[in-house]
Amino acid sequence: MGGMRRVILASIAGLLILAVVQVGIYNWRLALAMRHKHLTDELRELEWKVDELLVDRADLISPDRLEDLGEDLGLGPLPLDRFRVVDLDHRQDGGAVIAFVER
Amino acid sequence: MVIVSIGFLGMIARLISIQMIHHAYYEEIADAQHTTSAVVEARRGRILDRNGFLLAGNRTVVLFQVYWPEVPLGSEALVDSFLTALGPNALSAIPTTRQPGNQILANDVPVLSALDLMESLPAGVSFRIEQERTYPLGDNVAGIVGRFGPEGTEGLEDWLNEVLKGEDGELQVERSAAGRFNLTDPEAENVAAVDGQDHMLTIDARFQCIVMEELLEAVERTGGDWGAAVVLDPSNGAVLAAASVPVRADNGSLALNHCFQGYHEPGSTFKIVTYAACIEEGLLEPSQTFDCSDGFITVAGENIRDSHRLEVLTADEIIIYSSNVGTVMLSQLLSDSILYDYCREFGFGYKPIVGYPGESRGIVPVPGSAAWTGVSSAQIAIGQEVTVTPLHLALAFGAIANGGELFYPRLLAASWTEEGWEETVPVVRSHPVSPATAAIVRRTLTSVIEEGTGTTAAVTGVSTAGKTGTAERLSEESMYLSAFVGMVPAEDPSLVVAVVIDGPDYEYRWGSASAAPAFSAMVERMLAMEPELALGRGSAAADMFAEADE
Repeated sequence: MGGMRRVILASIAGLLILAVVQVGIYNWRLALAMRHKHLTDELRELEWKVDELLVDRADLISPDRLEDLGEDLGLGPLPLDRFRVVDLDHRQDGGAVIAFVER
Repeated sequence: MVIVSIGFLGMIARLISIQMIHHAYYEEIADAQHTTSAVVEARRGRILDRNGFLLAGNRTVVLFQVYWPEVPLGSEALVDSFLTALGPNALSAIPTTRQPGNQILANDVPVLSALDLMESLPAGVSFRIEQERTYPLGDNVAGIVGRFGPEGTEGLEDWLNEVLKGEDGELQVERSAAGRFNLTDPEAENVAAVDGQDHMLTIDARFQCIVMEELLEAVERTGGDWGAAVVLDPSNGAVLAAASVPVRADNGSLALNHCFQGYHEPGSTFKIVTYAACIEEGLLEPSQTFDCSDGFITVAGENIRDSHRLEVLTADEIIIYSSNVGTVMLSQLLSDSILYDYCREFGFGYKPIVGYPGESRGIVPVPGSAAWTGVSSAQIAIGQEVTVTPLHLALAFGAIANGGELFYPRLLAASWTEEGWEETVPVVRSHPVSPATAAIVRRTLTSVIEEGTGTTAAVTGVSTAGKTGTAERLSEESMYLSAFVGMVPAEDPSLVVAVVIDGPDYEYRWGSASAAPAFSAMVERMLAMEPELALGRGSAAADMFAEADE
């Protein structure tokens, strides 16, 4: 009778320990899942941010916009006849000087 | 006592059955009730120009909508507050009025500015995240890049769709008691989305914008129906710009890109094929002359005329002054089959890009076929009875520019892989002429600009070579087609540009009056942006600039 009682108590204790471990594992999985979701959301938001920044960059350096800005600042492309090759170095390593010549 | 014991034993047996024997079955039922899979949309690959400028990118936007039957009575004010929070993105007026079904509250809301709103939705309001394709340069590149959207896929977006679209992933998500999806299971068989592959084109966005602007101005000034211009790097077949106007049809959809879709007769620009063939075949003596003083020549009972009376000409003067009579005389030195072979060697009658949606191969009649008549050889020699695209012309002149190599054109410069950018390799299609022949043709084309029909194509400060062309069309809508194909600098070209304007007003019908000035304006602006191009491909100075850029 005493032996039977010890077996029952040991079984109950074992079951309780298993239950505690099970709950612990479940909570750990839950924490991992929440962390995973948090990181996934963060990654997704960063990807969205990258996309937006690339589009903004393209808008800012659009050739039409830069040309308009340059003209407003008086920095438009210079006419070609104001550029001259004034010296072509005949050294073996080549070389040339491109000069901007005022009319 | 016995009954209670039997009851307990029954319970234990049932627990063992559920927990151990049939646990997989019940686990499956539970999963189905509170786990679902969510699609993770792959981000579409980007398209960049050769300098990394974004031509096609992605934006993620949010659509907010309300399903009125789920909005509790008396809670309409919450929806109004939500609309107020949406600010200028809101589509509906405040206060809202209850409707029988769904109502869109806002769309195209940038996702990063909608995040807070997405987490505080009133009852009945939901959202949908959507990816949207965006094109920073708009219509300037629409003819090449095409479009990707609900209305369809065209252009490069269609050609590269299989590699741009990527592969959607799948996420196992656990549903909370409230019915919202809010947790992923990291141990489940989640499939990561594979984003689409980024691609870099050979197109230079700066050149593309310049060419589009000048082409549009030229078409409007000359009263043309459409215009097209191709800028090519003759050293490797890279297409630096391909402009076509109008960009859109009347209904707003993309129009044909006349650079590689559709076709036209090339007119006198095609004469270089006949001229180069005679030189390459060794059929011309240095002192040989051709009497064009009659102003016409009869072939198979049909008269072919010059636009203005010329005298006795040398072979190069035939090209310089663009004599139809002289060119027909040159073609009579060649057999039909040899002329046809040179047409094919110069890439005419083939699809240049091989695979681009809707690209045209043009038409070159085959000797002996039903389309070939007694006058076909003469007509083809002067650029009639043969149809081409501006890209065909640019590639053929590119072969003259680089010493005799006809390249396959390239629109794709590189594709992004895990190891980095994987570049495409230039491929030579054929060798229509020798370097010596190409040099002779270039000298003649230089004289076209200096003293011939192409003086209006001259570019200040840079030697220029090229050929004008005027084709008389039989269509009632467009009587003439004006063309000019040129290269700079003439001695060692780094740029080849083909300009075609269809249906210009009568006074602008000549290639020298419409296409050639447009060429000059385009090239002048491109060279002002990259002066080293004016020095040629193989010059030491150009290399010095390239090294300085690196």
